Amino acid sequence: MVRESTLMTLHYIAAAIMVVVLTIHVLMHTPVLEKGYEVSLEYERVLEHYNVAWLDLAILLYAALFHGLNGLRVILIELHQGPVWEKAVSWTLLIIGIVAAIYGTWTLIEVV
Amino acid sequence: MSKGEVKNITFRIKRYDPEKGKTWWQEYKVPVRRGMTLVDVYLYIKENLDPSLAVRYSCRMGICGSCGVVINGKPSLACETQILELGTDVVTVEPLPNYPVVRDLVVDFTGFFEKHRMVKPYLIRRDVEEQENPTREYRMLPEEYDYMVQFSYCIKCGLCYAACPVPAIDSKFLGPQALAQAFRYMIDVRDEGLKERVLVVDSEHGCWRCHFADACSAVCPKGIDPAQGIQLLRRMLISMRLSGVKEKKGSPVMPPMPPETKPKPGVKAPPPRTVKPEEAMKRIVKE
Amino acid sequence: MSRRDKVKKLPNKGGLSRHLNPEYPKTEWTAEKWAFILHRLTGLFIIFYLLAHIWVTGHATSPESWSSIMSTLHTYKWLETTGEWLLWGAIVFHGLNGIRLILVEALGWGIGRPHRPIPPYLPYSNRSAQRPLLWLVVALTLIAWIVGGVILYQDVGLISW
Ligand code: SF4
Ligand code: SF4
Ligand code: FES
Repeated sequence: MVRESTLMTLHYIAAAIMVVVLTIHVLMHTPVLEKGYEVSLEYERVLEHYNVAWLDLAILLYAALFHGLNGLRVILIELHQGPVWEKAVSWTLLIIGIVAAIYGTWTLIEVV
Repeated sequence: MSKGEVKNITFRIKRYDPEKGKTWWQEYKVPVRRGMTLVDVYLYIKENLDPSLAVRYSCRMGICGSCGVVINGKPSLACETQILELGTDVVTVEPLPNYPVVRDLVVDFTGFFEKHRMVKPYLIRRDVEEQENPTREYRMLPEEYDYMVQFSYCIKCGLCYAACPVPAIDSKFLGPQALAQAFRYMIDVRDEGLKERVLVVDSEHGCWRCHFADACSAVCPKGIDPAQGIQLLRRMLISMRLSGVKEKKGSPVMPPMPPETKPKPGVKAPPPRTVKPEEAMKRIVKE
Repeated sequence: MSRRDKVKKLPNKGGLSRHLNPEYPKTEWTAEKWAFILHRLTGLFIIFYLLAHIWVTGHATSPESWSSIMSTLHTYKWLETTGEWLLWGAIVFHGLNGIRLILVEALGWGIGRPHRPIPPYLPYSNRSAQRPLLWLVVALTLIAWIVGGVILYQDVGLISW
């Protein structure tokens, strides 16, 4: 059993981390660092992004997945209560999170 | 409005009959004078218009916390709401949301009080003997008292719980009142029950489910700021988590009174007491 | 009948539908309550986008799969751009309001210090720095949203001047 305060402390920490890494991630697709949003989606550009900012992307992947899925868990356990439901929600989201994290990591390793 | 003037005001009251399971709105026209509260209106209706209206009130001065209803969309105490101050010709009165209705304006507070009990709203000391048979008071500085005192003014009226959007969907959420009470004892320097209370508030339906909608503080009739308390409670839990602190040492018992001092030379001694303390004590005990 | 069933039968019970029920008492809509609801909706939007985004960017392993997924997405260009624009607004609001929430909820900032209640009872947490900060969040979100919209729509040639 993970204590609620552990999860929520990590929730806030992940949020604070994302403020930085997501800003970098978004800026890479804007005219500030690129010629334009559409240009930044060309394959060579994307590869370049992956190679330059792979660390940023990795941190973003894990922080966003944790923060987002924990937020979804919070919403779901507020919508309905009961020990079975709460367990089911936690496990389902944990599995989704692990699968998505593995897939994202695999993409990163393949591309870089 | 001058003194003694009467204004006719329509009261739209939401009623509920548990036998028939029926809900309906009923209107009453009541002549309202300056200074009349909603409790006075209840009494007028029950005396002159409709004795079947079920209401609840007791102290009619904002102390007992039993008369909470939703007046014109805002949870308020019936006894503290002056009708003419509302400034509307039609006043809607509804039972508090987030509680099951028993009849008309009376709601069931059982769950609310259960949650209040869950946070152990009393002083916990490791030294039970000293707590039961105290030799002297526990030490508490005026600043420490000021920091905690507002939360201890709570009259358990349940208005905050009615205004909060979270209990409406999460029936297990402890609610602003219970969480503010937990905070009140957790910051009390005399208290040693930090561990027990953390177990209750740091749960799936504890303080983390508050989302700072701040509706609770906006309606509290006693000037308590439950939202503030909950956020500070959360800060406390986070710092406890990061630093690993789990226990709190309560403040010590005050040292015994210093022996009576002799007056300084040149300073006049105080006049003798009219009643000796021991005699006064004896008299009280006899009575 | 158990207590739970009894409570369910009674009117005034909770549940999501209460917010849609016109008969239900509407209580105290503070600005923070609106912010909470918006925060929640934008968060929901973003988490589903995130999962989709991880899947889409998984196509970056080869040029062919990348161009195929991109052309699928470009089928309805205006729809895609509008979705991106909404997403941008959601992210900016969620992020800026999230900074405010970190300050308020995790650090206890901007809500005043507990004190002796002084009549008229105006709670500090409703009046302190977090409230103007909320207006700042709303203003910055609107500005960023409009700027982002101009960049996005101009970039795909849907607007130009
Ligand atoms: S905190 Fe205020 S509104 Fe809530 S129960 Fe106590 S007195 Fe009533
Ligand atoms: S601040 Fe928290 S407890 Fe108070 S009304 Fe909002 S969600 Fe409920
Ligand atoms: S009647 Fe006691 S608080 Fe209103």
